Amino acid sequence: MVTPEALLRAKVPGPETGIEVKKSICTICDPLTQCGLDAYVKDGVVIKVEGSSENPFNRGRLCAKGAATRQYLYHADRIKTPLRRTGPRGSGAFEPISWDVALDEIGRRANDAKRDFGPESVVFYAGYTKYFRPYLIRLAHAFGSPNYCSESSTCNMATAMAQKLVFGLPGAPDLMNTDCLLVWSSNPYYSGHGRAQMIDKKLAAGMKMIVVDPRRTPTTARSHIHLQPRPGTDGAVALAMAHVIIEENLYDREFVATHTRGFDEYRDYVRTFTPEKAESLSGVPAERIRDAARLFAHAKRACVQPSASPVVHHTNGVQNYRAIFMLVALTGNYDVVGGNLAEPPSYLYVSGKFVTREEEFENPVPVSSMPPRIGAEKYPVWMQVASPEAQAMFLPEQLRTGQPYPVKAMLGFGMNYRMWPDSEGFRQALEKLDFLAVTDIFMTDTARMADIVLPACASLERMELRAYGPGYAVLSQPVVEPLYESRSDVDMIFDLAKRLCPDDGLFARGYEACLDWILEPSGMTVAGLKNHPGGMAAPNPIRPKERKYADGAKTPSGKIEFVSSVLEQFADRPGIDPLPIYTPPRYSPEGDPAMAKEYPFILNTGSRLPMFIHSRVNHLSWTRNLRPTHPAVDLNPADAERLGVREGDDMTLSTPFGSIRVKANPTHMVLPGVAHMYHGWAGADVNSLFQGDYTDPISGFPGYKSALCRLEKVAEGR
Amino acid sequence: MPKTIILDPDKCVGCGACVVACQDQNDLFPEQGLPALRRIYQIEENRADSGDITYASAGCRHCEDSPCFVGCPTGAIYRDDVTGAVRIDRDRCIGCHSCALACPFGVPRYDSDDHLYKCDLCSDRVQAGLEPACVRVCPFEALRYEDANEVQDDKERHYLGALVHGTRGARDIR
Amino acid sequence: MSGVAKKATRACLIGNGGAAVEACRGLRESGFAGDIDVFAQGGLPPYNPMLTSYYAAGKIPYAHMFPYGASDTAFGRYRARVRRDSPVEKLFARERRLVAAGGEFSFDTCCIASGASPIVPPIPGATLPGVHAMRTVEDAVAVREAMDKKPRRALVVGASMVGIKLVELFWKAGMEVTLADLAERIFPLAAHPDCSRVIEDRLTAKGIDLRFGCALERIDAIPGGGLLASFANSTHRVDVDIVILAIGVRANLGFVDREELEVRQGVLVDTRMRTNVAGVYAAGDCAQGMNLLTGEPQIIGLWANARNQGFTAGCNMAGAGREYAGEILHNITHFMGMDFVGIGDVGTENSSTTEQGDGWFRKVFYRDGKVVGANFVDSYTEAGVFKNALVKQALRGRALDTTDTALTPLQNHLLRRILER
Repeated sequence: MVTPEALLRAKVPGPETGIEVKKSICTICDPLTQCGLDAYVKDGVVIKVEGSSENPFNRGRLCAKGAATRQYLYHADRIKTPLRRTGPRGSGAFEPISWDVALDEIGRRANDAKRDFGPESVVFYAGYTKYFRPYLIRLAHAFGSPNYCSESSTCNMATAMAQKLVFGLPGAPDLMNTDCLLVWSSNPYYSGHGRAQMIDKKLAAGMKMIVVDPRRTPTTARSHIHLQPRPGTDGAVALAMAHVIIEENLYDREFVATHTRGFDEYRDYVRTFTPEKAESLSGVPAERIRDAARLFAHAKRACVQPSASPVVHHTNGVQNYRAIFMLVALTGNYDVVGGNLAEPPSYLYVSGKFVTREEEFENPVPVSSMPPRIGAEKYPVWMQVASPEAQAMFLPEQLRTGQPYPVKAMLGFGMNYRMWPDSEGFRQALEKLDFLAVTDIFMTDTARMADIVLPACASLERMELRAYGPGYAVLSQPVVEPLYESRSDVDMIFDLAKRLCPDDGLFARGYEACLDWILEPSGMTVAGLKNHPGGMAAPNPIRPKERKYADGAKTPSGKIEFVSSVLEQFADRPGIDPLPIYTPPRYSPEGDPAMAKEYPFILNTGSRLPMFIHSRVNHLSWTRNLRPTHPAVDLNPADAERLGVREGDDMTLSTPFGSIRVKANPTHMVLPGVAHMYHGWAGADVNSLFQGDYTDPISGFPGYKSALCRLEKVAEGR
Repeated sequence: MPKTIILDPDKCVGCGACVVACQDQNDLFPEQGLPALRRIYQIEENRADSGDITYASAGCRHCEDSPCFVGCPTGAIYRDDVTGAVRIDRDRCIGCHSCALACPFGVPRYDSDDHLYKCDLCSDRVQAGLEPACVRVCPFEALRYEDANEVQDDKERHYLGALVHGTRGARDIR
Repeated sequence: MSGVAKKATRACLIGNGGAAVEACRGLRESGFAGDIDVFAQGGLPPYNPMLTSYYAAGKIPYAHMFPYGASDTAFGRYRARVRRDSPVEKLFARERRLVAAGGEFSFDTCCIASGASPIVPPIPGATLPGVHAMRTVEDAVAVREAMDKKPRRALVVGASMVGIKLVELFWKAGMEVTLADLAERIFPLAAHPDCSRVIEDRLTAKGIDLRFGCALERIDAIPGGGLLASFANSTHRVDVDIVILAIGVRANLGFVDREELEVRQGVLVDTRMRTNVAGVYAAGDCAQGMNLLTGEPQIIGLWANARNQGFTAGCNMAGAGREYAGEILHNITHFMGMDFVGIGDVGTENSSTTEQGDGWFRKVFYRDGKVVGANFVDSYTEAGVFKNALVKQALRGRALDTTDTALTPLQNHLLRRILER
């Protein structure tokens, strides 16, 4: 018999133990869809977490990060009170201040900048997490600034741009109904286990899977065909697949003839792209490319599973992705069941089979009526195609030069300067700001640069709305009171709205009223959702109809575009071509042979490990101890042998722009000749080895996943 | 035979959720000197010409004829009559590390007082009708709480079935 | 032979340690229904000699030296009768009888499990008050009592596993400690000279006075208190309050007729723990079973080996036909915040590999290209994998490597950390 003491020790919930299971969600990583979290609470303290079984994404399971929630929530490094800087920027010298004083100062400084330099001189930036974005966007726009920007300047937006350029409306892979999944550089077994669970089920039911990934991962291990290109050559592989599909007459002629633009020019270009040519560029055997093309084109229904950033983190990223998405167009798999279905998002990028007024909420004033956004001149395609955000990658240059207009104040919510290329250069550029306010859960290096730091709380301490693919919504409720003096970012935004846009009547009604306003078309209400703490099915889920393009695609031509009419406008600019022309990455053996002589390794950075997401849980002992070798560069065992290094040995990783000291991690996951460096390590920040303008001219995305570097063993004792 | 925690190596991706869930369940904070009771491994051969990559989550296997039980000089290691777990009586453990040399799987770890700290199969949870924490969290059902003999039978049936239907080897795995 | 054992109705066990308890278990689990008589040297329950130094150090209470609990519990659960204070005086193996406690007993089958005793060197002063051996419960009680007098200086003679635990005890008590041995280095049998040096450097850094290559010649009582130890080949004298003699042990076989039973250092046994006399078995620290690596009989004085041998003997006394192929030498000693592991036949190698890192040391020994052993300092995590793989592969006459399909992929992976670094 189990004694009450044993039940308590085993944390078994129930009246005998006084342990209550409360529903929350985990936003430690924040891709699109969040894991449901069961918080075991006793006496107001979370004593254990589990995955929520009813949640349609994680189905009761968690990853290592979510399982580490308690260390995240109760970490000693949490910021406890609002702080005002008392020493030099970065010194970490702060004094505690009250919320009123902190918010008043932010309001005053932002309004001063607006008065003296215009509202565009104030930047509103959203890093992680994502739940507060609609409110921050409205705050920026209601304030009059066009310069809301976010980590989308390096993540997913370029993928969306590539899709918008081809299709008008991005399409999401209809995994549950497809016969063939073409995963392009995504490894959900590490980065999104809910997705991977579904792939496992589909594979067991006979779905075919092709995976294109320069690395060998659990996803590639489960594939029927793994194409392993050298980083940055994805476009060559995709064009060769198109070559096979067209030459072998496997494409959807009726679809192409009726619904597309520029097919003849595209066909003429692709004709030159034989699998043999792609093999010489990418290293992928020509026969494998043929096999993959045939498997994809022969499938009754096939779709592309894109990734948020791997393919677009190249200087040729958007073009490469256009070439990939054109495979969906060629085979008539766009906006059909089992293909890439174009479903408009319900809320925060995710379709939950319900309609909201999020976009309307975010844009009380059209951005087009405001001064040009940051990056408008350098990245005009972004400005036309991406959501109304500034391209934050241009911010460091604008800070340094004051051109085309000065930026004076910045409100950074969950901001991390290490996300930028030449991260150290950006850190220095932040010194140019008159005023920087940062919100975060932990005292980060970025927070140390701020004039005012506001303590944010974690997902378990707040209320947030999320949509889920199968037609489901969660409005999470706090399971514990916010720790210390922390508050939710949304609370801060609503209090700032009183100071920055006091005339905004909707804002003035508060968070719950705004949520109700946004949710109004969905048939759901805050009150109703609160009755379902673990979430609820969307009432009357909408079933978007297939082939919406038949009534005119959302492109300038109304057709699916092999030749982009947007890119035609900027075709005079280097790197921009209306066709999905393949150019090698700027720093690559083909792109810069001279540099490659000195820097012989292809540098690929930023892949996920299952226990980390960027730098968010690097400081938790539970996750960090899962991979004790830090910060590590993955290299092929053959290269390791040649360089005389073994696991854990010290190495220097250098580019022409700097070098960092790292530990060797020989693994067959990476190709010979490729060095893969994990990002987000403070002492070895690989992003500091990239120039600030090493970007894709179409999207402005940094070329983090293909550059050139040198690896050297550090001599013993040095 | 009682149930135990069993790993299906074909499903494991080495994500470490099991390790952390165990630490969360058992309040094992490394900063307090308490070791993790499971570990994850990415298994590769060092040879340049061999590229197989497999993953494993490993903890105490609660062996039937536990070498650690035989080798424990004090009788601190014992078998739980109800759950079949190999457990440790901390009062009896003298920190001699004999079990480290006895265990064929490299499992034993010690707390800062040098006492063996080990998996108890979540015996109390299991008796309350719940699964062990590591099994409960595993995203890919690679860890299961089952009768070891039945699982073996299952795997063999699965393998034979696959041979008969010609599906094994058809997939281009690894 | 086994036919006799099957019909046996009376089994005698000479000795009452762990091997004897396990023999009782083996007998009963194999269906033996007859009488079991256990002849105990003294009146104490079975204890593990390795625990006595822990008791002396105050790390465990008195009762914890007896892992099987009280005698009645330990043997009673197997319906065995314990004859306390009944050391066997004479064994007539072929005649299947023995003399003990003034009486004569006949048996159908018997197991010699009489253990071992410390060697006390025949030097002047070896029996002076303040001079202790460390093996028995009585030794431990005496040392613990001596510690109550707050001695300040100690001499430990014998750089063995037992010796080092006593060094640790005195060091933790804040005493000045000298460790001396005739050998030139610490753990001369289990450690390679390179490994000894690593450990000696650490001991020296912790303030232990090491005196190697010193033969203890005599111990004299100093008038007014204290002991003066003199060494044969040195003018150095050590002036201390307590002396521990931990030179080694010898099998307790005074009652055995060596004409009858084949005895070397211990009673020779085969893989079923049979001696050369039918019906007579031996197990534990007095039995010389097989060293799997050398293929030569050797006493391997380990608790697990004693238990395995005892259980095997018991099963076979009941006619079960159980095999226990043997053991390899292995030891892990955790002392003064470090771990020393010695596995296999150290000193028989003709090549070796050495690895050391931040605070750890590993050496693997090869003979004719085959792994025969290893030393690890503060690197215990894969030691069990290595030891068990070595046993497994010795049993099959296969050289240890990292591609053996009899091991799990994880075991091979962990072996690679040792063998392919």
